[in-house]
Amino acid sequence: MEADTTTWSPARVAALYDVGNTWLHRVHPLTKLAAVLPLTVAGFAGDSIRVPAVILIVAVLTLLVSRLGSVVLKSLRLIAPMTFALFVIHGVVRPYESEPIASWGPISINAEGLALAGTTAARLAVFVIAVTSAMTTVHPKVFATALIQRGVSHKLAYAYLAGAELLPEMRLRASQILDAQQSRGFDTKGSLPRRFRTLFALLKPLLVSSLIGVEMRTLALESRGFSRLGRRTSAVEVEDRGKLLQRSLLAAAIPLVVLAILW
Amino acid sequence: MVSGARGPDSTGSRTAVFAGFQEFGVTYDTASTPSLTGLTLELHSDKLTLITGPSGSGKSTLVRVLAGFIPRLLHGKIEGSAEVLGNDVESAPPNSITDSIGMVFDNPFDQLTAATKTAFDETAYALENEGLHPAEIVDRVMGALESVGLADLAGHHPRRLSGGQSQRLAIACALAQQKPILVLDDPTSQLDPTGTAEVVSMVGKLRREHTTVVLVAQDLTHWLAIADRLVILDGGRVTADGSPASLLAEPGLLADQVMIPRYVAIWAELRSRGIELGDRAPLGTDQLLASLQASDGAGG
Ligand SMILES: Nc1ncnc2c1ncn2[C@@H]1O[C@H](COP(=O)(O)OP(=O)(O)O)[C@@H](O)[C@H]1O
Ligand SMILES: [Mg+2]
Repeated sequence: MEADTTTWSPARVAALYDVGNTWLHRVHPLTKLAAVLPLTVAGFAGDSIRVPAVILIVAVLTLLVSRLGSVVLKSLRLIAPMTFALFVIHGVVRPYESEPIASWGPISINAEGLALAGTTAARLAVFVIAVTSAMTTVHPKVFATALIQRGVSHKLAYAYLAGAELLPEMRLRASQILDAQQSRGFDTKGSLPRRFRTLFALLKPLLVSSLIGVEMRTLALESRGFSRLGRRTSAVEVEDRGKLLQRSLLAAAIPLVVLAILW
Repeated sequence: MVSGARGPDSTGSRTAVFAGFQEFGVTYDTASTPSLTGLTLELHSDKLTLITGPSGSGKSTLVRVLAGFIPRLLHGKIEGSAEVLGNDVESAPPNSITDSIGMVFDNPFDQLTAATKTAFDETAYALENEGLHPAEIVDRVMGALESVGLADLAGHHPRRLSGGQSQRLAIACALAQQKPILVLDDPTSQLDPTGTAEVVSMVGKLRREHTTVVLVAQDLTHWLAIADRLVILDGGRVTADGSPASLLAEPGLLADQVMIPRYVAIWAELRSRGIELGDRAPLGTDQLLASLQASDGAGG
């Protein structure tokens, strides 16, 4: 089963991590997270593709020079489907006042629509590349630890970490059950009603096995002190630093918002 | 106080009782009939108590009470009383029981936290929740992984371990928390023969080190040799309780409730044909062989 690369879930984000030791890996996780905000806001400055395009070019060059080409690839994989959809919606599907630049039968392409799609895609790309850069270079556990240090609840941190692990597990379980059904003679191709029947046959055991898994995991977590009150520690020591820089980055978003509105 | 009480167990030796059930019953909130009913049982420290019985006889329910999960996390109507380590299961403060009882479930993977990327982090999770110092966490985790033979795999992803390794990891988690009692709910039922052998020898080692073990197993084959006591459940109550060798001496009487290991069945069959093999059932193939050789020697 293919990964659902278009969905932005904590699971997908936590699963982005790549082992490495680049300068970006060494930046405090919350600094990287804080930088996402001003970068994204800056992408909205101006009413054309110019500003987000400049940010993108600088970002891509920096990543390539830093041997983080994988971030560029991952970002591309994430934004390609969205970009395609944007171009279809704005360039082709949406009706515009102005004359189309090209048309084939009922399909016509409009310059205004293309520009809008390009700008929107570039702004989206700035956000995606910022998040991907941050999350590719921070181990999920280090990120969770940093968040807990700043007062985020450990249950929320758990949900973030578990999301990354459980998504592939669900997928695996689904495909195992599907395999089992197929080997029992179920048709996964066939006609539509047949495929629906297969889908239901698939969903029931998936649901049941997931529920049993959830119950067991809940009990297992409980026996490991999941709901325990009081201070927690982490086996990985994350130096709690960079507060001023992080606040400055977040604060920098404010003038950028003003700029984006006025420009 | 049950935990302070002393009483003879079925093997005749005297050890502390750490858990006691009196006319105890549980009806899950989601069920209409009781899963345990009128159950009376005492469990002893420094023993391996083996619990068996047909599917649905209440084995898992019993160990969930023992582990402090019922009725606090899995709700149900309780009858009679149950005390674990001096705590009444209905009024025990949170964590008072779970902190002392390590639990290993049947499915090796569903019991993982799913929030860790290495066996090390998986084992460290509970210690982090306890707020231990990082240096102590490292010591305890490596010690625990060492004693279950997983130290070399500390950096491996928990999901990529084999079933047997994953069950040993679950045991390591309990060891790292220094829990004095280990409860295993059919820990080998979902393992292949290699994994089963790993877990059996691990539990054997823990017994030699005097860990208190309560073990549920539907297939007794590998466990009788290290069990101090066998408890048989059926229909939510105890139907037999005693030393494995004497309980299994009449395997025919238990055939509805217990999967009789092959070496016991062979022993019973030979005995019924008049071969003198003593009145204590063998607890392994080795013991069967030994008693066959002994009877051979006696016969001529
Ligand atoms: N979480 C639950 N909710 C409702 N009923 C349950 C639950 N778990 C077990 N039961 C029921 O309780 C009875 C005993 O089950 P269980 O303790 O799992 O037996 P065993 O482990 O011996 O197979 C069964 O009838 C089962 O259906
Ligand atoms: Mg069970």
